[in-house]
Amino acid sequence: MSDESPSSDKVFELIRNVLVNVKSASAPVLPEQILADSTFEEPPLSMDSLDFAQFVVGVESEFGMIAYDSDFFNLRTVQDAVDLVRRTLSADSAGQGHFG
Amino acid sequence: MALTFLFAPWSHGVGFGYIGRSLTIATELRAAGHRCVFSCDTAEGIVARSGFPVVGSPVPHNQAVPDMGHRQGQYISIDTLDTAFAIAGYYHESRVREDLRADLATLRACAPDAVVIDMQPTAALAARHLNIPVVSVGDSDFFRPTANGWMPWLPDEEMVSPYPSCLPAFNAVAAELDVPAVENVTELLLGDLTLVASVPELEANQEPLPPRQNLRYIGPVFWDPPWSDVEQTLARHGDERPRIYVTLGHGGKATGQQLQPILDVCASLDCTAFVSLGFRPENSTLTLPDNVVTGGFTGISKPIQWSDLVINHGGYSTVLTSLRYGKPQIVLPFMSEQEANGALFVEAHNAGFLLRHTSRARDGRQHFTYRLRYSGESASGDCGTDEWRQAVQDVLADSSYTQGAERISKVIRAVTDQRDLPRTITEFLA
Repeated sequence: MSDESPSSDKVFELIRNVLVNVKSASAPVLPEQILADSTFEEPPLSMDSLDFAQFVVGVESEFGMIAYDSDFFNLRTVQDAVDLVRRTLSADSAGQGHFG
Repeated sequence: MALTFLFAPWSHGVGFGYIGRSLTIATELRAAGHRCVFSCDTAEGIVARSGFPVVGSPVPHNQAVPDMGHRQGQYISIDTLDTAFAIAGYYHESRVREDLRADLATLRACAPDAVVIDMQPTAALAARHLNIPVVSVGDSDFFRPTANGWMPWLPDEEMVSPYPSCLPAFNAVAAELDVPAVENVTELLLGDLTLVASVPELEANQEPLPPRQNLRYIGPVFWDPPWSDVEQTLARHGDERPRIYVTLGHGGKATGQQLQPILDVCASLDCTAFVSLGFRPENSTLTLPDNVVTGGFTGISKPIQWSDLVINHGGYSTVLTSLRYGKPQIVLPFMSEQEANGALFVEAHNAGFLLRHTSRARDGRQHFTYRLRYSGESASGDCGTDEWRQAVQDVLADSSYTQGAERISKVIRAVTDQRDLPRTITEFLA
């Protein structure tokens, strides 16, 4: 993990914001209801496949990353997402740089 | 003069139709003396087994439909081509660039006279940058820029894709290569020559395709593995009883679970059945009745011709090939455009029906509920034996479904019987 990577607490805070946004249109949750060990499939998140796709896109946008890793779709808890985001941010990005 | 063709079918994971269609056209071109190579293969190596070189190094990435396990549910919702591309990650410029780099390298190394794409946008962009002609083959809905085009039965306002549009990313990268921008991602797939695997009458109940020079209807294109022994199997199986062919495709979720109730119904009816199991490993747990024979990856045309009724998942090639041979169908869709195929190609021509329809739930959340043809509303969409039994009995007892299929068959055969794809393609290139 590089020194520039955001702290685990910071990543958790940003992921929690993404989750609040994702849930706002259907079954709103408060930030304080979302804990590190909250699971995606159980209350209060109770996320379905569409929620989860929106979550992945939101995380990509928030962190400027690409969620290629199929592990992303097998996350169980919010902490799992925090760990995966931190791992992904520390990895080399591919496909950068323009043509020409 | 012998030409070199690079085939670049969609290779992002699910479904076999794209590669299968490419294999058929490549086989015909090869028989006419041309050289054909592919940019990708299936996991099972079917392209290489068919004797075609696989060139280039496709970039490894996630499947077109990520495996979300239990979160995915059994129905995959893809409302447009744009969403299909988005699931592959093409709303990221870097992702488009990554695949485009690989395609450019392949094209430069291969130096083909033409690139034949099947829903493959980055190979098309690469070819345009290098001024190599693009022959595009595809389902009709690949080329239709309609909002909600793959789920046309749902009001537009009811669909909200969770993904950003891929259009800005494609256009940004295209600009780097001095390739003109497009207004809709469907335009990326319009080739210098566009071959639509349909016939005009089947499209008459839909929005017209964009007017385009050199857009031709070629009818369904299907591929049968030359090494398959299904013809001999079928010759030994079947008698005077009604014959049912079951194929639920490779791209959907939960297709394996849906096979068992179909088999159970076959066991209880006075019929014979043949089931193509494809590549799915879960099928090894199926309980097979005596009147059912199974095959692996068999190809579809021989079992369809053998049958009196085709039970399928609504895959484009399967639906249109069943119509080509005038067979009635029961369609159990597992994803969006499959349901559209069942509605627009099968039900609209009274050649069978969908066993379940999808609608958006009215609970404020964007998920789907199902309506089964006989038992009505269903939260899970699972079709049990009673549902299947009624459906099979109804189709076999009502000859109007076969008559509807046979009527469309004549229309399709008027196109396919005259078809000479190598000539169409090479004359265009000349």
